Order: sequence, then structure tokens, then C-alpha cells
Amino acid sequence: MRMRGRFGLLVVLCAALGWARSAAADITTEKSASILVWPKIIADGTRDTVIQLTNTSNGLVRAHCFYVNAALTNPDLPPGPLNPPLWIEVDFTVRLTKQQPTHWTVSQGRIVNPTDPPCNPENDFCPDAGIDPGHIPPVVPDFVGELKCVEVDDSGAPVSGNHLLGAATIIGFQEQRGEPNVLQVLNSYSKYSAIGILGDENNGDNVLVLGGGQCSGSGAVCQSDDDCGDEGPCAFEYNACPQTWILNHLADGAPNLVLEDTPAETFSSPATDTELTIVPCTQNFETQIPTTVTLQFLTFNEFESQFSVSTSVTCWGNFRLGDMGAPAMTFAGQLFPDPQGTMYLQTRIRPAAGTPFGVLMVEEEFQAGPLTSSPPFLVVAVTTDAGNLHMEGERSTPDLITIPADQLQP
Amino acid sequence: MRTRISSVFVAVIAIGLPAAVAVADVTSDRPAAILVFPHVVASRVSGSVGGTALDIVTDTLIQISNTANEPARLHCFYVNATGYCSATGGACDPNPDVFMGCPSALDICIPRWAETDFDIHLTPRQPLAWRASKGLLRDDLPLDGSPLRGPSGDSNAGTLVPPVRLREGVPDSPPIHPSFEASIFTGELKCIVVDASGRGAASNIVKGEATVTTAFTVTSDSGGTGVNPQTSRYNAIGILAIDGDANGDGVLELGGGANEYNGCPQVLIVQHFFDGARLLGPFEVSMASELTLVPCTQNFRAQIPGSVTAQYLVFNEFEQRFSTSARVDCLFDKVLSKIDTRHGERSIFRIGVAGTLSGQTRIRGVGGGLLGVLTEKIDDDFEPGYQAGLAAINLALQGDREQPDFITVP
Repeated sequence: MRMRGRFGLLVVLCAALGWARSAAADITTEKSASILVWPKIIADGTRDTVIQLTNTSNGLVRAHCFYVNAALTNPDLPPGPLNPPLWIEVDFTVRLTKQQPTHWTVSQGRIVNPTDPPCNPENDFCPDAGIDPGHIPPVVPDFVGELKCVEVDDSGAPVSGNHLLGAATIIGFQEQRGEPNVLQVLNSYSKYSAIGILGDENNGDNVLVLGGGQCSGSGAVCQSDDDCGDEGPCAFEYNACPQTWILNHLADGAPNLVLEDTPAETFSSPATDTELTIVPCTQNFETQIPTTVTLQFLTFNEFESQFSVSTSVTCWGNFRLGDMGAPAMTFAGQLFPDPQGTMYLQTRIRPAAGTPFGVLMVEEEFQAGPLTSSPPFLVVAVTTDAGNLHMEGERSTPDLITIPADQLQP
Repeated sequence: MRTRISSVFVAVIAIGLPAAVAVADVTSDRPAAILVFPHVVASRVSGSVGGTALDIVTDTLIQISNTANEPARLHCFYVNATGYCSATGGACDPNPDVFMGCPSALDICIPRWAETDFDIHLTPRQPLAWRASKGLLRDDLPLDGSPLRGPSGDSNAGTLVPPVRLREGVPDSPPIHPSFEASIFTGELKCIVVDASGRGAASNIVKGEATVTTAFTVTSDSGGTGVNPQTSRYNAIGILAIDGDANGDGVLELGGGANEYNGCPQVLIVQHFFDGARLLGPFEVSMASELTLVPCTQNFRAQIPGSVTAQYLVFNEFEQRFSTSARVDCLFDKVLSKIDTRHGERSIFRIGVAGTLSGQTRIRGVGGGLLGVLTEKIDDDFEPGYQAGLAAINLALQGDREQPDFITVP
């Protein structure tokens, strides 16, 4: 009796502590993690992406990575049933020595060449200097999509080491003729942190459970020991995806007021567009069947007015907020009684009720300056910046990343 | 028996407490109770040379939003860290790489620390934004309270954001001629969620972003004009409240055992390219990075700026390690290769010395915690001196400081 009483006390306390741990389970953009996701990778000839990947531990770390190509089958034609996205996955493995940073440009990849010359005061062009992390393939032309890296051990099994940090830099320059005599100059330089998913326990199999685990006996997906019964305990694998993403942004088409503050004679106002890139948390690389998620957008303006819109994303979504067909998201679309000037918005994005999958996302702003005269052209310059969104809460249902088991062999 | 139960309690709580401490975080991707914007700049430079007029406007757009369904009050502090020249008294930037220094070598740029505080009232879910150089005056408030109020009856009445003060100085960096007119502000913004009595509240409900925009306007004799915009964007660093300023003493304890606010990170991790790195891709650019750090401890009551020694551990892609250290007094804002030397070519942050393109730098504060952001700048290799892009990124965080930091408010 006494024993049972004390055990009960322990159970209550441990449950409380377990709850506390669960409540703190986060997706992160600022801590080293076991799974890294770069939702936006571009190598379309105009822009290219430089990946940074860092081992924050004092031991050797391996990661198994996947490019997901979401480019249209024919990028020159509009999307449609006869021109679907490719959704082709290519994987590779990297190895980082203790505290090693590495990088590569996705259109170039990185080959293993121990004779790469290091940088020195006489040689500042040394793109592959350093310990090669492995053979990283270049992406195919016109690539748009996602990169995902999963920390694995020497045997290739997923492991919850939480040792990886990442970032992506999207760079591109282009001069493009638009309307007659209008020259658009793109100076794109955007940077964001890879989204990290922290690991907890891990049974090392090819099904990664986000926001849950697997019963140690049966391997069934679970969220608590109760789900496993006699096949327990439930080994919690990775943190859950966020329930809500929060974005502070300008209404589409709203001016960056700093760019209006110019002594030049201008022929149009500057304008800002915000682009979201979204990937589902659940991905099945075994069946290659893309996941579809319906998303609800709830937007508040400076007058505390509230608007909502929804859309769905399959595999990989990349769209401008102004293209969602919601006037409230656009600067010119907000009508009386909201006076003009509702430039700044807060948008909260969540999977629709009943949608069993979470999402991950980043944003990128395209800031167009005013149109000016530079004979024989009218010129508009566009710059970009990317950012990570804020998160709130976590999904109550688990997401699964399924990797073909034979891809996890070392 | 009592002893046993006590020991069980102690053992379980002892196990639980480290977990609780381990989740005490500073964050840049979650709503929080204290927001820190380490890098707020505003400047204007104008003049003409060789028949070409140049106007450069830099300003910081601050965006803050309330993520809760209840109103939020914030008490904010601008920290003006613009230096002044010891002999001529003009404004200067203590960072020797920016365009504004002092006219002669004997005229030394002395850092200054001046604080200005103000209040912001946010209605439920409301986003609010302002330019640092313009502030947010009563006429600019979306819901001024008379007659405009939100659906819940709340308003922004009581909000007054002063514009930062730009001070005139002498530019000294080509191609900007010393005859140009120039004025500058550089500093930090910190906002604390407070209750109706002005006491730090335990409400983790606000989020923020800062977008630094520079507009280069060039007008030639022939009448051609171009406006080249560049932007960099980062998330405000959030410090989560536990109980807030529960004892009402105006001293906000970050970390430690008081359970007021989460502690500052033990280590800041910077993923960066070494200065002078030339990336491989469909572009020819070389890079430099500017690091901004602020101390976690600040005494606004006694006007004593925080002072912390930053220890740097730098790893290159060969797993080789370098180290250096530098003081952070009030605000530290330097190009990486000027942290350890005035001769950038010899710096451990220069690719010619580091030997590889990318690096990982781990920054640990001695005598206090640190927060910061990184801003990358790229130059076009085809047009030396032409700044082609800007991007900012939040630093990664590791661990919590054992010793508390203190923010003392008047």
C-alpha cells in the first residue's frame, strides 16, 4: 500500500514533468536540431541558393539529405493537369567533423577533391576549400523546391543528436525588359535560417514521427504510453510541427516608405510583395505521394479588422499573398471603413481543422523601388529579403517523414 | 516515512528542475514579453561630386504586433549609441568601417549612450509599424481613441513614439566626399510588456521585426536618375517572461533563480562567410559581414551602459580553430574582419587567413550575456565599391547563462 502510494505520487509528478517537456517541444530557427528543413531552394538560372550547414558538436556528425524538386514538368508553361510539378526527390549524405561548417551552391553541388587549394592572401577564389563533406550533387536546371537533412549515425539510422544548424542565401541579379522602355533590375539577396526539428528518443527506423513516437514493442505510431498498452513505452521521436505561424507583413503593393523618401523625380510609387513558401511536415519519400494541406489565413490590420482566406498546398507551395484573391491582403483592396493607410498586417496561418498535417514555411519580401527615368529607359530596381516566421503552439496530431529504408544504409 | 517521501520529492524535483531550466530560452521565433532590436539605424547623406548627385537614405522600419486577444502595453527604450568626435563634436560611428568618422586622426570617435523611453498601447491582435526617423505621433495612430477605436473598444491612445535624432557629422569614406551633408543615428530598441501600473508583466504576447532599408539615389548631369533599394530584415529577439517583474522593484532579472524572465543564452552561434569570400554561382560577388551585439544587462535608471567581454571561437571548414576577444560597451557594431585588428587583411575573419569560405563563430559573454544579429553585405565584383545587396539573420543560441542579467528600468 505504501509502495503503491509512493509510486502513484511518482507517476503524478513524472506525468507533470512529462507534460512540461511536451509543452516545451518546439520547432526552432535558432537552435541546433536533428532535422533541418530549407523550404525555399531556387536555382532557376536567374537566382541561385547557397546552403550553409554546420555541426555544433565536438563529435563527427552525419546527415542524410533530400532535395525535393517541385518545378513544373515544363517550366515555360503554366501549371495545370497536363503540366504538374515534378515532385522528384534526390538524396545524398554529408559528413561533418567536429564544429565544422560547410557550404555549397545548389546549382554547382560540391565534389570530393582533397586537392582543393585553400584560400590564402594570394588566392581569394577558393570555393571548395575545406574538408569536403561528401559528394553533393548539383540540382537540375530550373530547380525550385526544398532541401531536408536528417541527422543519422554511422549505420545510417536516424539519430536525435540535435547537432545541426543551417541557413540559405538566395542570390540573383538580372536586368529584364518589361513594358516598352521599362527596364527592371533585380538585385536579390535573401537569407533565412533553416527550420530545425528537435529530436528526443529515436528507434532508428525509417519512419520519423514528429509530435509523437513509436511503441517500443509494436512500432505503432503513438503519442503517449497509453496508446501502446503492453507494447509500450512510447518512444517520443521528434518535436511536433507548429499549430500556428504568425507573419508581420506589409499589405501587398504597399510602399516601403523609405523608398519614397527620395529627391528623384519618380513615375510610380515603390511597392512591396510578400511571398510565402510552404512545405507539409508529412512527407513520404518511399511512395513519393505528395501531401496536400489546406491552410487557413486569418489577417488583422492596424484597425483591428479581421479578414480570412484559405488555400491548399500540395508538396511545395510558393505564392504571393496578393495572388490569393483576397482584397484585404492588398494595399488598394482595403475599403472603407478602413481608411487608407492600413499598410501593416498580422497574418496567422494554420492547417484547417481536420487536416491531419502540419506545415513549415518561410517568407520573402520583394521590394520594388520607384520608377525613375534613365534615358532611354524608365528603370525600376527590385531588392529582396527573406525571413523566418514566428510560431505558436504545436500540432496535436503527429506528422510522419517516411524514408526508403535502403536509402539509410551507410 | 516522511523522510522517504521528502527524498522522493527532492529527487524527482531535482530531476525536473534542470529540465525546466533547460527550456528557459531567449527566442526570435516565438512571441515574448521583452523585445530587443539590436540594430536600429537611420542616416541621410547627400551631395554631388563630378556632376553626379548622390542621396543615400537609410532608415529602419520597426514592426511590432500583439498576438493575443487582449490589449498590450509596452514600455520601450531607444538607446542612442551614436558616437561624437572628441575635438569637433560632430556625430560619428564608433565602427570604423562606416562612412562617418572624425575629420582627423587626433579627433577620436567617442561612444555615447543616451536613452529615450516611450509607451505603446496595442489593441488585440493589432500590428503597428513606424520608421525610426519619423516615429509614430498622435496623428499617425490608426486607432487614436477619439473617435477611432477598435471593435473591442480599445485604442492606441497613450502611444507616442518619438523620432530618433539624427546628428550631423562629416563623412570620410570614398566615394562619399567630406563636403557632403550627413547625419546619423545608430542604436538599439528595447520594448517591455507592462501591466497598467507599469510593472513588467508575465505576458509573452508580442513579436517584432526590423527592416533596414537603404535607398541610393543617383542623378547624373544628363538627367538620368536611378533609385537602388537594399533591405535587410531580422526578427526582434524575444525574452520570455516567467512571472514578470512580480516583486515590482523595476529590476528585471533574466535567468538566475528569481523566475522573472528567461536567461540570456550562454553561447551565440554565428554561421557566416569569412570577409572577402567569393561565392560560386551565376554571380560574381564578394562578401563581408557586420556583427551587432548588445549586452543583456542594462541600467536605464542609473544610465549605466552594459559592458561585457565577448570571447570568440572561430572554426573554419578544415576544423581549425582560432580565437579572439573584444569588449562590448553598450553596443558593438563591426565588420567581422575589424573585430580583432584594424588591418582587415590580417584578420582571422578574412578568407586569406581563415583558409576557407565559411565559418562557425561561437560567442560567449564574460561578465554578462549578449544578444545580437548579423548583417551580410555583398559587393559586385564587376563594379568594385558597388554594394549589391544586404541581408540580415538572427544568430543561433545555445544554453542558458548560469548567472542572471538585469534590466533596470526607471
